[in-house]
Amino acid sequence: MYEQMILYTTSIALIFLGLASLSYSRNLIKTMMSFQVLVFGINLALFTNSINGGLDFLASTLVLFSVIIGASVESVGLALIIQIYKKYGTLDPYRLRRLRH
Amino acid sequence: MPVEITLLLCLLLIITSTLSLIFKTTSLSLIMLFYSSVALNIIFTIYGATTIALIHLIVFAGAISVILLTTVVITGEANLTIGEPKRYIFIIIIVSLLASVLGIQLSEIIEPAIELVPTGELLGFVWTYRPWDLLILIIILAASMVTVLNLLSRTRE
Repeated sequence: MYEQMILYTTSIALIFLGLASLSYSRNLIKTMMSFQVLVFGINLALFTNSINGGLDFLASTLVLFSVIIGASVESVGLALIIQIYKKYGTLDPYRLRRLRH
Repeated sequence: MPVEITLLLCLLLIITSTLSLIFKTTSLSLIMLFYSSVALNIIFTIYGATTIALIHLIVFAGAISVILLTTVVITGEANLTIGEPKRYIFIIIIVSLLASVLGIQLSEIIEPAIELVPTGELLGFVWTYRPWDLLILIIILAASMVTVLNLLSRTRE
């Protein structure tokens, strides 16, 4: 019971940390790091739901899927970041918005 | 498993994640992100999900860290701007406090999942009961690889 409470609290803290940093960061690489922290929190929340004496395999399967989809999204995002840097020479979203016009 | 170990690992996870988001130096930020990934893997391992821990370690602590490092090397961003540091740290402290209150409230409300399959292997379960999901995952993974290759190919230039 206490372990689940600790794990839920940690996962919610990670999710909120990721969201706060996503909305506040001024560098696209830092944005991807925030996304990774957000994925960690989601994975931990899904995994915590599967702990009940033993392991619920359905919840574990969801964690597995979340890991693979998170990795796919992150790899595409990082490739896009490289292209953005090659084209605009900056990774600051505010400056990018100005350069677009 | 003693509660103290879980508590220590969770604290380590939160501290390393927060530091990885606060640090301006890229290398320190990446190292902290790596440590947070390892802490999460240890939590998975001590609760018996060794397959998930292994896959998580390979994907996030391995592949994604290397891709992040490659991106940093290509773009040459040694310093990661985070806006105003004091405001950022204030936001993170508020978020942590809010999350603690929410987590305690939620853990009392949420019922744990019913144990469906008590024995066996995770990958065997996925192969037997969720083959279509596995196929969709493979398609998503392949699509992301093709997209990355297309974005990074020199012929587009």
